[in-house]
Amino acid sequence: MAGCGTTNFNDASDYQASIRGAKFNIAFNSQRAFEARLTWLELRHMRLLHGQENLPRVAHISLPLDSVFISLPTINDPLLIYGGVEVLSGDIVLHSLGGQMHQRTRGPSQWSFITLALEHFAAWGRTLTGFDLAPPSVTRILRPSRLDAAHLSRLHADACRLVETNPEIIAHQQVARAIEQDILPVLVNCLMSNDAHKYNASNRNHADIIARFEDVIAIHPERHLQISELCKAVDVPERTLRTCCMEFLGMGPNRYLRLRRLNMVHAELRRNVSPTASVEEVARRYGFSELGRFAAVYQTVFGEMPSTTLRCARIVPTRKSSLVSETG
Amino acid sequence: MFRAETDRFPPAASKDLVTARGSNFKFTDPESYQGAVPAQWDILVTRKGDFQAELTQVELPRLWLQRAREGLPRVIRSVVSVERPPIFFLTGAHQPAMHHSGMEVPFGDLVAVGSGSDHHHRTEAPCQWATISVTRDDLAAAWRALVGRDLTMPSNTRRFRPSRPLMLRLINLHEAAGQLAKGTAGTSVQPARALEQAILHALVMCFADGMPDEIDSGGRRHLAIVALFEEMLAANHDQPLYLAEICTAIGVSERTFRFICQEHLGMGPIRYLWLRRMHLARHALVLADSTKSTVTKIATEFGFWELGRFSVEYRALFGEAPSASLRRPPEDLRKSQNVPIAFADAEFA
Repeated sequence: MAGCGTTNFNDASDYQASIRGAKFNIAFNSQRAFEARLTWLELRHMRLLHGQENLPRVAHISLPLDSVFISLPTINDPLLIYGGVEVLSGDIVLHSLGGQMHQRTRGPSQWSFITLALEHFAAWGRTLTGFDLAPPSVTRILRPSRLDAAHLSRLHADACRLVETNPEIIAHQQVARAIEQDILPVLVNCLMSNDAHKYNASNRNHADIIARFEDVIAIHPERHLQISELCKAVDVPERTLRTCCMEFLGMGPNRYLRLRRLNMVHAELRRNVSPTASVEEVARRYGFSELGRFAAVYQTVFGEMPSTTLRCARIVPTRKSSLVSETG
Repeated sequence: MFRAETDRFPPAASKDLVTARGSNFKFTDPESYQGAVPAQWDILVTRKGDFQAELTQVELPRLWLQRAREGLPRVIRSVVSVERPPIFFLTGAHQPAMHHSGMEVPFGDLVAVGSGSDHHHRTEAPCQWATISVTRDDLAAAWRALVGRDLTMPSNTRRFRPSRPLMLRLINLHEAAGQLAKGTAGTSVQPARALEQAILHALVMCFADGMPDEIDSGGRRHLAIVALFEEMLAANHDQPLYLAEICTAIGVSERTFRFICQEHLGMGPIRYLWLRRMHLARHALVLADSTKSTVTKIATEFGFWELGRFSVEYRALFGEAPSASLRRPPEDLRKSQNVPIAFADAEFA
């Protein structure tokens, strides 16, 4: 039996927490209100995910060790940037198992994943190709034929549209089976195609640096780390770190760190966990000691004063908006 | 898919019987056509258009003859009787070759089908064909009488390419038998027994003359895979099936399976399985009670979840909207509009 659902969000932290299977850590930088929609469909051995967002952002994604993630081709949508490389229209990304990456967008975006449990990925690979399909140790960008790419995108998009418009049909056992079986041969065909872009040694080296950088941040997510401290922990010269950050994140390390912390403050103010909390207390906890300076930066990023965020949260306590449908 | 009743021919007639029975029917529906053939037969029409077929059957004391004309390309899967494995050939001089279990059979060739096996006959254009069915004993006796040696017919399917005059003679005699059944035989009506003797004679001469062409070992391995595939289709005769499931169950790679499907069915497995599901859905739509069921319900039952696409493709394939099929009474499927144009039960003694 298939489970499926589609939910609209206006809160980035709710949104990223709802993306099951992978850990998303999104930092966005826009004065407009965040809006997103997440659609998911759980089939027998396959999971489809589709996200739509209205703001440019950078997300640090950590993938699990037991599932294979495949990013689907975008055909008409703006391009996504994975690991500093712009994935061209029609290309698919076969992610490394348990890998980490940065997925960056430049504007409103859509992304699609197909996820398969590792054992089924291997079994189906063997069945459909005659040899073992192993998830790569390094993420690969593949270029399927135009026809296969368009077919795969269409099947994924149609299935997600069905979740949004007609979830009762998805609940039908034969439909869940048919969707999975319709997608499988096309997917495997796509996975058999050639590399569109080979991450070279320098890419991989930079990816390692960025991964270490994220690891360091993860230890003290709320601290205001000095650049010298960071470089020492990551064990690279400042210049190299800056180059890597520009390449993967689209901004320098300081700005990225500040944005991450600002996003956390924003999320916490919106969630309004403790009714007694003040803006000052929350800001201080995330390493912003000068309150006046913090408020100014906050306003440039989110388009409102932190106190306004907090006040709104107290008036409208729940942030998860209209639940369109949820079955399964 | 849709199972035809087996052995609808009357029980083997006594050899002393000197009558010929014949019938001639026209069909506009593949399923009724399939039901009229006295063998286990599944037909899958592979191109859109109005289906038309004409089937003539003649029963002589020792020989059962069938002749057919079909207006659309199709794939037929048949299970061959152990006792009376058929012999078949094409009867239209200018038609393209057909494929029997992946083996090309042009006009002028004669195929002795291996007994007790499953086969796919595939055509790519309108087709006219004929079969002769004779028991092993009767064939062996005729062989001994004419060739002077014992006949050891192998159990594998064999293709013969007799010299043109011998083959044409067999084709003409078969046609004469067909004319008898239609009741339009000319002045030269031969007694049934004499006609039968002449056909058997011509058949043996064709076998003796033609170089046998066996299906090779690679072909046999492919046949084994096809047999497994067919078993799976039969076990799920009213259920949708999909490529990955079949490959997993049979233990064959998609690449090999695709090659075999091209060879035996003339199309890739995905297309074949899709066509099969379309026909299953059509069958269910016509049989369903339109007051109790819906197109959506039936389409999804057979794995069609892109409903708009299903409607478009259904209409392209069958020439009517799925809702129109649903409204049709079930009798349409059973009786169809098939009208017997002649039934001759003549005595020619």
